[in-house]
Amino acid sequence: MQNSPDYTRFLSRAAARRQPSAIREATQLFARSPPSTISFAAGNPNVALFPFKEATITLKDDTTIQLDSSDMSKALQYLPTPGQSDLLEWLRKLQIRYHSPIDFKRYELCVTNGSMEGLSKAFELVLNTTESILVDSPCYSGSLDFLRGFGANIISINTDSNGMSAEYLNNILSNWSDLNTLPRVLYTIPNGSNPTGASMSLERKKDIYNIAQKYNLLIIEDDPYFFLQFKKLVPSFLSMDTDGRVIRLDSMSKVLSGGMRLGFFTAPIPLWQKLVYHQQVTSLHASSLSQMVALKLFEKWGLSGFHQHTEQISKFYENQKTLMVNAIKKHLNDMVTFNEPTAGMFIWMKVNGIDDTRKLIYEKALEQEVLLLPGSAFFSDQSKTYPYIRVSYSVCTPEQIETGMARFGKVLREELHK
Amino acid sequence: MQNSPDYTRFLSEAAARRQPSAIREATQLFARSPPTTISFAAGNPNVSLFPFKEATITLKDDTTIQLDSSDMSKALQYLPTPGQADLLEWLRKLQIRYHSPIDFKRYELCVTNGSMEGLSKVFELVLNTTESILVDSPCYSGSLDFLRGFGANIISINTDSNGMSAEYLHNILSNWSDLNTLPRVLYTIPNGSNPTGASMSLERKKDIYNIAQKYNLLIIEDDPYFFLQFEKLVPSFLSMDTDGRVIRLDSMSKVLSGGMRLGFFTAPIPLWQKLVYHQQVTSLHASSLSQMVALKLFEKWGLSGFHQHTEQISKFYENQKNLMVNAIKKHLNDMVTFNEPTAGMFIWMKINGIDDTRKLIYEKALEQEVLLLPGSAFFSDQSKTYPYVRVSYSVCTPEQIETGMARFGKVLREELHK
Repeated sequence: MQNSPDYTRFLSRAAARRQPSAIREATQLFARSPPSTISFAAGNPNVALFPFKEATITLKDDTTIQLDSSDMSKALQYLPTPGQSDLLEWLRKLQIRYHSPIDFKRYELCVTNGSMEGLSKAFELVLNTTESILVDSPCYSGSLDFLRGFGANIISINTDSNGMSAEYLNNILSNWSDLNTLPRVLYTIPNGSNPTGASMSLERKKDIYNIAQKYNLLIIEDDPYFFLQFKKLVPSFLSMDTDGRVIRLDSMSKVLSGGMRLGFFTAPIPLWQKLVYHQQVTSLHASSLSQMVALKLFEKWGLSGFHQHTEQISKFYENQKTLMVNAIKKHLNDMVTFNEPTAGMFIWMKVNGIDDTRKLIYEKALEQEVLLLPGSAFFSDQSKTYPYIRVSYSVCTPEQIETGMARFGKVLREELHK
Repeated sequence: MQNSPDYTRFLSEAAARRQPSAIREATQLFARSPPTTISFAAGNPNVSLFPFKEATITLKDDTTIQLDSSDMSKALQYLPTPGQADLLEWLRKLQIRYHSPIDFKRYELCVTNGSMEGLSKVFELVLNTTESILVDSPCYSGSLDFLRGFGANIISINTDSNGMSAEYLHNILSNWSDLNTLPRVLYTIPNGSNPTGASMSLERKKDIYNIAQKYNLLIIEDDPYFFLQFEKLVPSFLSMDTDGRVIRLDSMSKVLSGGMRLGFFTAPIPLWQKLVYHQQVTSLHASSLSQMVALKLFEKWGLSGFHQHTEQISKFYENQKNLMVNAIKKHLNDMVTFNEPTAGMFIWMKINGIDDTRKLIYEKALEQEVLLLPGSAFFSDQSKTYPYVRVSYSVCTPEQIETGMARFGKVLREELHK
């Protein structure tokens, strides 16, 4: 494996401690022994006692997918931690199709209960309490919540309409005073960022990757809006990972179902192994039922059917984006400043002339029956006030977009003309 | 709340840091506002884009449960972290029926991705690295794997046919040299213990609870084989919890499905709250699809139908246990010593006259095409050898039980008469 970093550099003390399950040996030996072997070793419950036999799932195009009794037995029983093997094959095909990783054999995949579960495990893989991590500013609030609870030292890197600023990142790292505490890991949402809606261009990604090489950083690429890119797909960090320094998190939450908890990570094998050891003693594996349903869908659709589906999705969100942008321009005009996103579900607005959008929204806007999200949740320093708002255009109807923005326009005009 | 411990005593540093999600405020405000409010705040994806419409699940009695399009929408969308509200109502009814908790209002419930996920979060709730935890010896290998990876100081308490020894526990605590490091938490599987198959009698539970009161310990009651008790159900620690010092973990893995990842914990509200904060930034919630399927089943069966189902399950495992015990007596005779379990799926055998069952099984037994689990995986000291094996009778047919034990008998006779 050429150019790989020394992966032990990236392991937290807890990750370094983690070992394979103590009964793994028995499982592997049994798998390799002749079929006439009788085993009293496995602790699996008897699947014959589970009350479910078969299932028929009707899709929105009124075709169906079937789980016969053999499928259902598999959907009800424990799985190996990385996931159902046929589903993993499809997910590998996806990675090859969308990312053409430079040396795909150096990575392995693991299905998780949503990509957030994989992300939290990736944080725990690499960080010891009080250690530093480089993140977007503003940053996804769930990740900030996790990192604060974990006790990490959050280093916020300014972003612009192209995502994380390479210049700001380089400044922070080149001016870091204590080499012993230099951050070793960078975390970013490169497409349709939550909350800013910004997407990183290819050039910006290359700049960031170069800095990661210079300072030997691990890049955690968190990409739940990958399939919500409105135009051409921008190459991912995974696709340019010559060194094997990228852990990529994918999600089916915006594409197949958020509730079914289906995400997966792609990581260099030494790191994947440690992540799997951790998963083995926590959630064990993502729901077998969810994995079986996803597998049946891939078998029915193939990669081309899946791709068609993602195109419908990105068209829908693009249309919603257009409606929202028009409503903002019409009703809010120059009272706000924003960048038009090229992916995802969010618009990040700065309200000109207001310091504290939390007060504005919870006192004034709510009264006028319109709710937007104050941007303060997305900054690591929760003690300050901020002039930002996150607007989501994912679930509102065209009428609600129009009416809601008209209401908010009224709120702003009253507030600004006081 | 009478007699409650000071719960801050039981919080790890990480747990103490954990706070509600930063966007929770917005979610709660929107939930309380008039229905005419228009919200651009929620970051949910649009569920109409998910490809699944409806489902019909056929049960083993050939009746069906239906998920109509409204059910399916809910099954595909995010849920609040504690779980689906109607399902939680059923689970509360279960707890009242089976445990009649003394002051049920002091607890809350949360659904998790299997009880192991809940258990790992509970360990992280209460332990700082290097701190001590009192566990059964031998102990469930998955928990030992987790605790070793975590860096906990595992204090192994001897067990007998009635589970954890109150006398041994008391000795350990009363002779503890440094009061600053006295353990604050006890972890046990009280029914059909993995690996010993032992079940704690009511008297033993009372003795253990008294010691927990004396030393102000938290009791983690891990009870996945609760419904696999063959005779009368023994009252749980939850049922006798006058002080509010019990966190109970329940599992549907042996009852409805292991693969669907459905467990739930019952904890005193201050501890439940911290556990939920942690869950909110990791797996978010257990699969909505799994929860919806379970809900539909409860609606169809009611508590009495569920109870009937669990009775069928315990009868099945009891029958398997009888077959296995008879085969052991017939083929292994006085070459082994074991206690006959009253719950669960396991028999714990001591091989008389052999020090290292790992060697015995992987070299000799495997050759004779029979596999049992060496007991070493269940001891915290992995450097020693042990004379124990764990036998699982969950999935083997009557023929396999007979043939397998005949093979193992041959292996033992050859080994012992060398």
